Amino acid sequence: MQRTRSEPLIRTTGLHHIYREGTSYALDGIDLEIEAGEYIAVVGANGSGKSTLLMHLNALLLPTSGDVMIAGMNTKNNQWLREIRSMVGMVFQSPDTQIIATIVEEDVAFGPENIGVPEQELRHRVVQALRAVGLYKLRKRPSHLLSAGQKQLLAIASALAMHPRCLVLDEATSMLDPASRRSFLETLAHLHRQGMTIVCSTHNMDEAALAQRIIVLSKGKVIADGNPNAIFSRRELLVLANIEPPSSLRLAEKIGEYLYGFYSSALTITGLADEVDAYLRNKGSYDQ
Amino acid sequence: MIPFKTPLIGVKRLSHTYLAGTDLSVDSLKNIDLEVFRGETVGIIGPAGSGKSTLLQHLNGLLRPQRGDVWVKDISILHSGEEIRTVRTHVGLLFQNPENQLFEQFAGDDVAFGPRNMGLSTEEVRRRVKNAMEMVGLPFSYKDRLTAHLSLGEKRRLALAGVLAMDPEVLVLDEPTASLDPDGRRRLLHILSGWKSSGTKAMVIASHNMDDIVETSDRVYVLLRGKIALAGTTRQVFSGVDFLLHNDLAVPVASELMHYLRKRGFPVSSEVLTDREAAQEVRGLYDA
Repeated sequence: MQRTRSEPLIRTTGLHHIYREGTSYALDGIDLEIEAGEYIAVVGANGSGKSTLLMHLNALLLPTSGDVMIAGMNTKNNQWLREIRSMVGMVFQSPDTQIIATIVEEDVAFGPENIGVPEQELRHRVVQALRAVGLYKLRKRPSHLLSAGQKQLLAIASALAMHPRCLVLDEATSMLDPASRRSFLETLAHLHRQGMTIVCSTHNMDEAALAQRIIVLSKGKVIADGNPNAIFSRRELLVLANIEPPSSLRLAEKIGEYLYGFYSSALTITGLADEVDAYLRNKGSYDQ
Repeated sequence: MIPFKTPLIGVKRLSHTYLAGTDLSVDSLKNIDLEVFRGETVGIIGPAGSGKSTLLQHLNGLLRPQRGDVWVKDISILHSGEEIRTVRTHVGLLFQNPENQLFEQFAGDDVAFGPRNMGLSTEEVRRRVKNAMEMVGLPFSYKDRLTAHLSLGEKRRLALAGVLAMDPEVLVLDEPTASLDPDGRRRLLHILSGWKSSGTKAMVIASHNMDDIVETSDRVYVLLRGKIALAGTTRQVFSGVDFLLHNDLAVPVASELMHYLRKRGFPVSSEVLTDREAAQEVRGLYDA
């Protein structure tokens, strides 16, 4: 397979998707380029097309019209299917639908075993993937006895064991508790630092703020695409897309109502504490 | 604020072990005491695997007590035979992602399933379905819609209607707002507070979303490794920011900001729960 250096890892052009004839477009003309190594959050209301878009990224869905190219390979071309599927690992919202084996470590081994990874390497991958999500100690546990959060971590481990170049996560943290969510996001950040491309959808804007780039979907269209600070400073956009600002901005706004002139664009609570601290210590200079 | 002395639900020294007697046994619940009174909402928080879902499944007898007992009004679940049906009518349980458990082709049939099983007359079933659908904001005409064609938010409200149609006295909800967008979440919380407003009902909510807990709950139980580690009014529980963060739990952002400001030496109250209260505290610091 030939491809030029400038080809992005993922490119969609004029991507449209209709689920049933006569219904409206779930995706209505999406043009995107995603470079290898990016960390992207896809946000938008329920029904805005997030899941549909993500499912196009590893050929689970094929375009009604338009194209999706993964490293230069068109998802419509059946000959690339296997390669695309190993290159782009998917983690879905509901872990129960993607757990196959009855024992934790067997589930992680299922994917790589299927593509013929030799046993030595297979063992190594399983251990590595389970360690990455903190489930190594539970490797012998029957998977149906895991909690919802643990099952989701297992789904992530199973995707990682395929050694994908890109991880696509569809609201993968929506059922995780704060601690698992934190360690999961740390795992993602770690993978990203090692060069993994990450595309995740989420309703949690504190989480979206961790990405380098946020793509905002509304009614199947991209209505904004930019870095977190640029996106979250546009209040009208957030209202339009039915998304809430990160909690630190929401709280900063409330403080601004009580403290004239106070402003903070910090995307974390510790960052907001810094701003409040600075404001209070310099209050003399604001009084002028 | 406890309007009636006898609890609607009383959990007494309840313990539960999965795979008891094997070397994979897991102590999921250890000696739990918990009470739910009329008119109140009880929040349950805890990390993944702390036993929340196991506990909730005991509240309507889906799981029978291995040790200890659960009383629903005057019925002991441990000793109940036929009365377990009454328990399941009194205590409505909405699982995590209940939309995955809708099974009827038409929306109305899904809501009607419970009432039909109670042996009610056709007219009564119809009346209850209509009521329940109205309560959750789905037009009665939706009864003839295909379940599969509803949006995520609508499906979740439909599943809730199916539980409400049983006319329970206690509603037990496992992560009710997970993966809903902000509109969907607000709408659901509004429906729940409307349902509870009569004052004779009670709710139990397990959630990782601390905003959900602050908005709904009068009292909170904190589960850690199958034990109740902390219990009290919502305000009392969230004043223990250090304890909660140390145990991998989240706290409301307002409480978290106060926590960081206290660490920097600002004399702020430890019992702050809402954004407004936090803003007032900061204003107080400024004026001091």
